Amino acid sequence: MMSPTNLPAEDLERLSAYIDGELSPVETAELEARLAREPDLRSELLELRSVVKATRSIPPRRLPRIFTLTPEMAGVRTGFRFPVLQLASAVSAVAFVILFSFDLIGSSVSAQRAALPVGEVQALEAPAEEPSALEYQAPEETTEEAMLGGGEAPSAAMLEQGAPTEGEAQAEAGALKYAGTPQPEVGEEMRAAADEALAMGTATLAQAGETENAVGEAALPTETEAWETASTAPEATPQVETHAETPVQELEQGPNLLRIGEITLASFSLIFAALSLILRRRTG
Amino acid sequence: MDEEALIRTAKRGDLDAFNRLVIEYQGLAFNLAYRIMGDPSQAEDAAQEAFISAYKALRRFRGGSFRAWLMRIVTNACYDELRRLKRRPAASLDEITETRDDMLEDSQDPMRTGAPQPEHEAVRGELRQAIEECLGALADEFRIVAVLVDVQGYDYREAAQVIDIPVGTVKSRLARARGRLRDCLKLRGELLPVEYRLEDETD
Repeated sequence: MMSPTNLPAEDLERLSAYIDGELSPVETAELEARLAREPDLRSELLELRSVVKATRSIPPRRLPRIFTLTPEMAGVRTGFRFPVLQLASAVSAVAFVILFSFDLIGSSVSAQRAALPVGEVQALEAPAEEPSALEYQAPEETTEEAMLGGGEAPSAAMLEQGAPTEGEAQAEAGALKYAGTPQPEVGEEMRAAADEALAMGTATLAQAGETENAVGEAALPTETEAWETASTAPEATPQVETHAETPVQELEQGPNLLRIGEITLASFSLIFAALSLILRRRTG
Repeated sequence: MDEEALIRTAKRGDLDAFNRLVIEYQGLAFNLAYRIMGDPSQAEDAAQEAFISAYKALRRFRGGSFRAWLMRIVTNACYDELRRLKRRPAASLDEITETRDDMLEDSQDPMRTGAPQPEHEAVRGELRQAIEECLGALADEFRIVAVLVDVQGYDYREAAQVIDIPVGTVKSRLARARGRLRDCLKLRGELLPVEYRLEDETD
């Protein structure tokens, strides 16, 4: 067995580089001249060559598995190739939520407007309260209404409750509830209903929106009927009806447009989301 | 599709193209990781982590040797893992024995890719075991150079790119690594088959 050699580091480096052909022509010539006259150096070269040869003979280790990346490992979202669809879905969903919130606030206000006189009349049975609760009523009519509609207001409330304005059971229930509920709770009821609906998902949202609108509508005709009933009084003035009809028409058209918008946006949102999912499955 | 086209496609986020590069280089990556880590399961984790890092960093690849760029990521992943483990990456005797057994079984393994083919098919298991042990006994900075140049066949410049050191440093570290391997193998001279005994080398 041979013992480790004491070859100078510079010579070791030259021999090593010589094996790999990494010496310059001048260095190569110098080293080859030394190798020709120095048997020990030549022996060192042979040893190093055999080491390199042995090291290169090590076979590679078997792969334990394939290292290809899955989309999850690469952090790739499978819908990556269709960001436009995802964006469209997200935008229409956000627009839907904004519009729905706007509609919700509008419905809440109109419901309050409609429910307020009925509730107060029912609760207090004071005829003077009805006109004063209506914001758009002219001051000079207040006295007239208070005097003329005094006996009619309770009957108007009775009419509403006895003959529901909409066929839908939900709307009826909502209208009745609002009629007997104090003013601040109306908004809370609406919000609670909205929260509940939001939790049920996009599809349910559209229905919920319609339901809310129906509630609003149920309340609005209540207002109309109250006014119509009031106007049947012998001395009711035409101005009263004129004042009443204008806001009612606006409020009826508004929710219709909002509802159409909501349904459209919700549909877009669902269509884009479905497209994204389908394409993601096909390409992922 | 050639490598450059695959890299261009993979840069645009095409995972399939990148996975073709993975298949091409996984043998080199795993073996390099194994030589650095000294443990197959740790090498497996490091190699996988390196491919994930490479995919995420692919846009920063500015050309040149993709193999060197990728192996540098593998090397860094291994050193990160070693720093985490805080232990020396020397192969245990059991592991070396297991390695030898695997190698004896795997001479015709189709999954074996990347590294240069053995010059002699009849290299004895004893020699392999001795080399494995001697390589494992080298200090990290010498072993990585010996593995890159002698085991995996890189030239000096590519090895310098992989471990981010000057070519001159590769040259000197490789010489010292070979010298230490020679000393180690000499101590095991009687284990070596006759044709590999250093004193009998005649070519």
